[in-house]
Parts: sequence; structure tokens; C-alpha cells
Amino acid sequence: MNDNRIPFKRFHMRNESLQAQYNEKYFAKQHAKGKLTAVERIDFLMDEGSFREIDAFVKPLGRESQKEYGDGVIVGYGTINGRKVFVYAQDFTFMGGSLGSVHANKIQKVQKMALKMGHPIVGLIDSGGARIQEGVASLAGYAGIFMQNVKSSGVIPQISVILGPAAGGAVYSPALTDFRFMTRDTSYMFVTGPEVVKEVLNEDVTFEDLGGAEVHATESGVADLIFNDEEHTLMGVKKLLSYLPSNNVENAPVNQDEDIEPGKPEKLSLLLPDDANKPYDVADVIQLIVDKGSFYEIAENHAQNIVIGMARLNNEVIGIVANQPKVLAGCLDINASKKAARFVRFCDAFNIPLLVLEDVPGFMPGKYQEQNAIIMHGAKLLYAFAEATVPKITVILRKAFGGAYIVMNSKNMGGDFNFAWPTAQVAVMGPEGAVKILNRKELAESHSPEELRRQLVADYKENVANPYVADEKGYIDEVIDPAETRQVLINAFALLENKFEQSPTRKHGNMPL
Amino acid sequence: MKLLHSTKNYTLTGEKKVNVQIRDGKLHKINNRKAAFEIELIENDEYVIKVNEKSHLGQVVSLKQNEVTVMVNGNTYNFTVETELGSKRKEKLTKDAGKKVSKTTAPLPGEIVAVLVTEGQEVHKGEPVMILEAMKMQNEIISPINGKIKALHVKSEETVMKDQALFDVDPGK
Amino acid sequence: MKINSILIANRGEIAIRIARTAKQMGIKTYMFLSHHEPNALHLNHADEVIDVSDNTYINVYTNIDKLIETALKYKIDAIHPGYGFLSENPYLPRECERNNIIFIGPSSKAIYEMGNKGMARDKALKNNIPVLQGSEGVINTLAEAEETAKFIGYPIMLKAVAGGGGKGMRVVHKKSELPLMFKLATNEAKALFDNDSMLIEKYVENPRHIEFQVLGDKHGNLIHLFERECSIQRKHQKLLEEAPSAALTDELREKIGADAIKICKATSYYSAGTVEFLLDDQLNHYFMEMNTRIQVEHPVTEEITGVDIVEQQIKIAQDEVLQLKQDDIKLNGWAIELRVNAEDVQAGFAPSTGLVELMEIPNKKYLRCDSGYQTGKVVISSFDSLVAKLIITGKTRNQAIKNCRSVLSDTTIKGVKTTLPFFKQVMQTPAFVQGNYTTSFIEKDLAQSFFQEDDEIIAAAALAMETYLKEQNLINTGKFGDKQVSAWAMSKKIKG
Repeated sequence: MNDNRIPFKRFHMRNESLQAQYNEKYFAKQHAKGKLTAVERIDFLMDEGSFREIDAFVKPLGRESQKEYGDGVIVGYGTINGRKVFVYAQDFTFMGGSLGSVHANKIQKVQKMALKMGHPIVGLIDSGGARIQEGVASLAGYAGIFMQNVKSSGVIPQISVILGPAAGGAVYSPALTDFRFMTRDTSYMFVTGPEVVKEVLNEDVTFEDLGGAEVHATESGVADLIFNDEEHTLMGVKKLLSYLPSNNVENAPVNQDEDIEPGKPEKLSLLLPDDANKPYDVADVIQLIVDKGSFYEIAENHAQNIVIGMARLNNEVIGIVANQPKVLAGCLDINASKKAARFVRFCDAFNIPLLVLEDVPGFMPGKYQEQNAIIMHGAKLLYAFAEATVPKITVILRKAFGGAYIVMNSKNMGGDFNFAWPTAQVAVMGPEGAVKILNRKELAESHSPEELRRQLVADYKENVANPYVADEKGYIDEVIDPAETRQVLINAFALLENKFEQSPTRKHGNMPL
Repeated sequence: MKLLHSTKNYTLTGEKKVNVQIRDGKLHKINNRKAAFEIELIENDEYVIKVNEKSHLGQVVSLKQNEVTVMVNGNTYNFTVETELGSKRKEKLTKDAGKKVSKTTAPLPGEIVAVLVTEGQEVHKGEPVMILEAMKMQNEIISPINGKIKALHVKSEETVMKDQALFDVDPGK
Repeated sequence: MKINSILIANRGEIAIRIARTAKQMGIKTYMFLSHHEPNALHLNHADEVIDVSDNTYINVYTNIDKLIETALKYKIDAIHPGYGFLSENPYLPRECERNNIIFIGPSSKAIYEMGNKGMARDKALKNNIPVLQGSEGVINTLAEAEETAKFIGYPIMLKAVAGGGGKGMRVVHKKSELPLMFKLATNEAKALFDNDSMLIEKYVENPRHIEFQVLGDKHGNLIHLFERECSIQRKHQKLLEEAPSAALTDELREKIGADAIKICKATSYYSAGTVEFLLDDQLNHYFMEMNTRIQVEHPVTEEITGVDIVEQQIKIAQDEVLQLKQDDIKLNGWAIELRVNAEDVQAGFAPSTGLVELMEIPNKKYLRCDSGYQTGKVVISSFDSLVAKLIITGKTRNQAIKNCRSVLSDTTIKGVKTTLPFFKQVMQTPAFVQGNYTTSFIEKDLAQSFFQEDDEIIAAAALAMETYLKEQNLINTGKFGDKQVSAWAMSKKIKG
């Protein structure tokens, strides 16, 4: 029975009318598009009964007489697996989820609270963009949100979940956050929509091709993770959060599992093909090193020549950067460098140790790469590794050639440990290329150049392209048996647990952006 | 607020559709058959699955999001797990979707020994587009639809991995 | 000349198979340790292992110079090429002869003549051995193709002159299909072999593939060891062979056998060889081609005739007169060979490489297992995918099939996927059990390519669902502990 004394009566009435707002019609509107409502999304994301909404009863600027509460966004806090998290969820059913100044203020309010209290913030985005009726006030609202995004960057994890449209200026808040999740078929992100493209460039383009989840997950790399439906998207957010600390001072949460052994370490050495030019899947290597089933790959469809993701090693979180020989032979190109650099910096910001699995034949050659500034983009990865002060370990699986070797967290770039498998080849360039340059004259003069070339290649492998030369000179700390990789890494990371490295005092470095 | 955590009916889509009902977080019925299911981990990743007293030997190959691959009695099964909401959503969206560019990937790892078409060329359904050689076997990679070759992602003599993108065919309007 | 030592220029099960007979005959064997398979099982069966693993830039099994050099260096009397690799390369016997090394196999000339499709066909025609009607000479234009096809009558087979082993072949069922098929076939042949010349042959729908094992010595004696039925094929790769064939009567057996001998006589063939025929549904046979080497499936013949074919090869190579007479060769029982390949049947027989985590083959009187692998060995992609040959015998065909089922249910291979589920399914398929099948068996008669237990899909769904729920449960309710920043690190962070 409700307490019907005067102050309580109004309190109950308000709550009841808020509840009444979420009626069948409200749900049906979104469901008809194959989408969930903001209410359902929050309900699904947060621990049962933990969500507390704030600013629930606000109304849009200049429309105080409007019946509906909230101005198209639900904001608040609660727990996800017991961890405190701030959330905002845009409500497409209310004026298309458009961002008015009150709406923007609500978002900024939780952004500020999250930063002040040191908890992650998750934004569930489903909005048509700026509210045209409110003019510049709406734009100023965006500006405020962006400002908070930047202030929070590197202090608390910020996650954007795009579950509907995010168009125009609205895309820049997700862009400023740490991770972007998208759902296939129902989420879009673009700066200018198909209508504008048609008007300005007279090009016909679909929503899907311009800014669908698939495009952003593969081509542009804007989406870090994509899923088949909203439920699994939100599950993915929960899963990612389980790898992240709440802020930049805390450490990532530790798992308590006992059944973590990945099984059959002796299989590791068998994964690499006999022929050093044949591809294999580095994900198989990762699976056999980290805790069973703990690898959570990020951006797996974009720049597939490099693999990044979170994993646990002996129950503790690490970030993994691995060259992928099965795509473009694992070469570093513009996209791979950008993808990995961003990930390295995220891990460094949030105290997540880094493991590099290296098999890289070099940087991607070609006009496209050079003309599009592979020099500057490659330097990003270099900068990110050099700057990172978290524990960072490299295991050279196979190729480690030239500039790409340097970039991939080499010893003299500050790698805390550099290990190598006996299959490693550390050299300025690969045997075939080196022989062509070093022995040009002999080859030209030889009667059987092909045979001589093969012999020279074999000699080069024997004398240069192996891990032992580098090991004997101290550029590699230890050549290890692939089967003992996991144990060696667990020990090394344990040693590095309290590593602290002083960064010079400065406003900020000048990263090659 | 309406709770979604209580989903009870799942559809597993693979070669065949399987319906699974969950009660109290446990398997209750499969394909509407209430059978005695027992799953026991025996060693490493190996499970004994008992269905109506008959034992099957199983292994989990991979789990990614809602896609699960298991091996039972040496046979591989790929399933996509869909919740009630997910199934409804899929129905709704497939109804709305139009013709899509068809993307063909490598069915097995090997070497592309020949590319038989050029970009922009018209192809018919069933027409070979590439020849993939693996362990001295040649496999014709055929066009799944009528249309135009929109993109060729590999060249002759290139080594490809399983599932690597080979070519796209645009069905046109 | 007596052979005292053999260089086995092969690997895997056939290397072991050859070594077994050599050992019985008191002959010393040499094998190669290659960088591909430094831990290969066959090395345990050699008297001497020649380590060539430093030569990572050659494939020793296909390098004639290396073979000759090795034989000379170690003073080895003879080279046995096994099957595949150099076994049908006429230059190897020629080089052997030049260097006074015995080649265990036919003459260079016989390999050359029978290896050429056109020459072999001409030889058959000349000796009144039936062949499929076909084009005279090569076809280069659609007009020529149309004319020839009209003359022969549809359906026809377009074959790339330069092709082989099922490559560059296309069936045309009616005239209207010819322009497209001709274009495809020539495009493909051009791309694959850089030669778009075609042959046209009458196409036999659903034939049976019957081959005769022959043995001949250098003194003109020739016999055959009956037939093998190899109709269970996928893309011209044999999967299961049996001997004898359920399709042949004694009369037919004699007739085709006589033709097999006839063509061998015409090339003065010696050593072991196989003459392949197609059998149409009217039981007409047509000569197809000849394999001038020991075949993968030779054990089924050995099991029903009791003749050790490798032993005969060696004896013939050392100029002995064939002691076996045609009348001595008697059919005894039935034998079926299952080729257990490391292939994923469900993924269209895609190769499945990796560690053989477990390999358990039952010990049965009626089972012979020829294998180059055991638990702990690795299947690599550089060589063929054959893991084991299970040769199963029985007094009758039915008994042999029953024995096959029993062997299959007791055989376990883990780590790589194999064709075992395929054979389980074959043994359940009526067309096979009745012996009434053709080369279209897999497409026509087999319901699916792998065997499934009752309720297997239910079990799979249960396991998949359980796995999924476990993960969802972990994501939803997982409890993670906090990892405190140590005092040491904290003090560093604060003081800087």
C-alpha cells in the first residue's frame, strides 16, 4: 500500500506516470524495427535491480508542458557484475532520440560523475542527431559531451554502444571514447547521410554501405566489436568490462578460476608450418598460451594482418598484439599500425600489461602505402610501444625483419623481455631479399643461378636469420621452447608486477598523428 | 520493467534447426523431447554426452559470441544460438533486406592455381571463377549467383587460408 | 644381378611397406631424413638413414640428381620409387641405367609410352583393345569440337591434352551445352597448363572403374593378378578399393585380363603395373590408361592372391624369370582397402593437418594396417594426406564388410579429422553392401558423406547449448577479485 500522505502522494504519482510512459505502444515502436527500447537495453545490461535513474523527470527546453519525461535519454548508475558503472541510453522513441540541450546536460551530468568517482561509463546510442528546433543550444550540448569525453580519456574506460543511428556531430562522441560496439543491420554511423551524399555528390549509396556495422568493422575500423543482435552486443560490453579496471589508478580485475590451463602446450611448436613463407593462424598460438577461452579479440575484421585483444594469463589481464601471418603475411600496413597503436595506448593508460607475438616480414611496400603516409602511421605504433610504461614482453615466433622488428616492442625500444622461439629469424631482411642484394654479382655471373640462390638462402638462414645471433648479442633475452612459453610468460609478468617507469614531465608528447 | 534475463527458448541454427528449452538455467527439452541429458567432462576438453542412456564423445571447438562449434563422435557441428528475441529480430530483418552482394570465401586452405575471370565480367551461377589446389586436389570455386564480378581479392599463385575472401559477385538490380 | 641394397625414394607407409619385404629378402634399405619430417615413422624401418635435412631447398623425393648422387655415394644397388613423386618419370630409370643403378620398375620406354595418353590409346587401338570413341588428334576450335561431338554422339567428355588426374575435364551432355563448356574448359586449360588444346572422348555415364594388376619379367613372361574395383572415388581420387570386383563374372574377368596382358605385351612391359578400364552398364570394357608403378591399393590384390608384389618387383628387377604362372594365381576370399586420409569429410574433404594425438588400430586377424603414422606423429601439408590403409579381408564380400564395420568401430584417430566417418557411412549404404555401385556412388547413392549416430545432433546441440550457457553465465554472474596496487608501486606513483 502506498503511503498517501501529501509529500509521498506526489512522489508515487510521478513514479507511476513515469512507468506509464513505458507502455506497450512504447515497446512496439522499437520492436517493429527489430530493435530494443532504451529501457530494455539498460535492464539487460545492468545487474538485476541495480539501476538507479537520475534526472528522470526533466523535460525538453521550451516544452515543459510536454507530457513525456526524460527528453529522450535515460541516465543513471548501477552495477554490472557487481562493478559500479555509469550509463546513458538514448531513447529513439522520443523525438527520434535527438539531442536537445536538456538531453545533453543529462549525459554530461553522468559523464562528470563517472570521472569524479572513477567508474567506467557506457553510452547506449540511438539518436537521429542534433535537435534542429533547439539550434545552437543543441550543438553546444554536443560540445559539452565531447569535452567530457576528452577529459575522461585515459582516466576512466568509456564505451560507446551504437544500437541505432549515430549521425552528424553525434558520431564524434563515440569516436572520442575507448571502444565502439555496433549491431549488424540496425546500427549506422556517418558524418553525412545518404541524402546529403546524393545532394552534394550525386552518388547513390545505402545506409549499410555508408556506415553500417559491417563497413565500420571491416573497412573503416571505427567499430571495434560487432554482433548479430542487441542482446549479444550488450553481453559483449559486459564481457569487455570484465577485463578493464574501473579507472587509471586501479588494476584490472583478477579472475578466480582454477580450470584455466589451455591444454597441450607441445602443440605450439607444431602450429608453425615447415616453410617459413607459409601462413598459419596466430589465433591458434594465442589460444595455447593464454588461459583457456580467455582471449577476447577486438577489431577482428579490420586490418586482419594484426590481431589485438584482451586475455588472461594466470587469471590476470593482459593485452595482446600479434602479427597475423595468414593475412598479408602479417605485414604492417597503415591500418594495422593504427589499430595496434591505439590498442597499445589504451592498455598503457589502464595498467594492462602487453604481450607481443611477433612474426612480421616487414612494412607493406607500395605506392598506396607510401602516398598515404605509412611513415607517419607506422611511427604511431613505434611511439605507442616506446611510450608505454606498463610491463611489455615480446615473443618472436618466426620472422622479425627490419623496421618492423624494431617497432614490435624490440628490446632496445624498451621491451622488458624479448623471448624467441627456435624458429625465429631476426634480421634486417628476409633470406630471399638479402641474398638478392648481397650476392647480386655472384648470382649474375653464376652458371646455375637458381641453385646458387637456394644455397645462399640456406646459408643466410644458417648464419644470419635465426634467433641465436641476436641471442648471443643480447638483443634477445632467451631462446625458449615453444612448449614452455606460457610458463615463461607467467613468471616474467609476475616479475614485472611492480614495474614502475618514470615518464618525463611534460604537458604531453607530440605523437605522430 | 520487463526482464529479458529469463529467456527460456533458444533456437540453434546450423545444418539443421534445433530448439532448446531451458529451465532453471539447465537444459530441459531439445526439439520438444524431454530426454535425460547428461554432460560430463572426462579429460582436458573431452565430454561424454549421454542422451537417453546412449553415450556420445564430444569436444568444444570454439565459442565466439553466439556461435558455437562442437565436435561429436568425430563430426563437427556449427551452431548459431538465437534467443527468442534474436529469432524474431532476424525474421523481421530478413523480410526487409533486399538482394545482397555475395561474398565467396575459401572453403579450404590451399593455393589459387588459376583465376578464370576478370573484374567486371559477367558470371553465371555455377560457373567456375577460380581453381584452388590443396593437397594435390583441384577444387573449382564457383559463382554462387548470376551477376558481375565486383571484386577479386586474390591473385593466381597466391596461398589462401580457409575462409579467406576470394571474390564478390554483385547480382545487380 | 642380385640386389643387396635399395634406396627407397619415398616416405610414409609405402617406404615402410617396401622395407618390410626388403628385410625378408635380406636386402639392406636406405631412406631419407628430410627437413619436412625429421621425426617420421618410416625412419624407424630403414637400415640406414641418410640425413638430407640441411638441404631445405630441395624436395629429395623429386630430385633425380640427388637420388643418383646418393645411390652412387653409398654404393646402393637399386632405387625403388614407390608411388607418386618420381615413380612415373621416365628420366629416373634412364639416369639409373646410365649410372649402373638398378631401377625397380619398368623400362624408361614403357613409362614414356604408356604415360602419354595419345600413344597409349593408339597402342590399344592397334591391338584391338576396345577404347572409348574419341577425336583424332587435338581440337582447337569450337567448330571442330562440334563436328567431332556430332560424330561421336553425346554425352562427351572434353579433356585438356595437357591435363591429367581429373584436371581440365568437363562433361557435355547435349549440343546446347557445348559452347559454354568448351569456353570454360579451354579457359581453364589455358590458365592451368598454358595449353588450351582439347581431346574429345565419348563419355560413359556412371561407369565402374576396374583395374588389372599385371606382373611381367624381362624375359617376356606376363601374368595378371586379377582386378581391383576402384569405383569409390571423389574427384578422381580413390577412397576405397576392393578385390575382386562384384561386377565381374569369371568369363569377363578372363576377357579383360587378356586385354590387359595384350597391351603390356605390345610395350614389352616388365615389372608391376596396372591397366585401367572403364566398365559401362552393359559390361563393355574400355581401356583407359596404364599406371607403370606400384599402386596405393596393391595390398588388396596381395591379400586375395597371396603374392607379395614388392617381392616380385625386386626379383624382376634383378632379371629373374617370373616363377608364377597364370594358372597358379587363384582368387582366395575378398579384400577391401579403406584409405584413412587426414581430411575433413564434412568440409568437402579438406585437408586436416596437425598432431596425431591418438591413433588406435585394433589387432585383428583379418586386418592389415599399412601406415606411416602413429600417436605423436605429425601430418604436414607438404605431402599427401594418407594416414593409414586399413586392408580388411573376409571369406566372402559380406564377411569382409562385416569385418570392416567391426574394425571401424574399434579404430580411433584424434587430433586430425579423418575419412573414418565416411567409411562408416559407406558400410551402411545399401548400394555398396549389395556391390552395386559406380563412380557416381558418392553423388548418387550416399545419403551424406559422413556417418552420424542416432541422436548425435541432439547431443551436439546439448553440448553447444551448455557451452553457450556457461559463457553467458560467466559474463552475467562472473565474480572478479580486485587486484590491489602494491604499496611499492603506489609509493612510486605518488612520489614520481
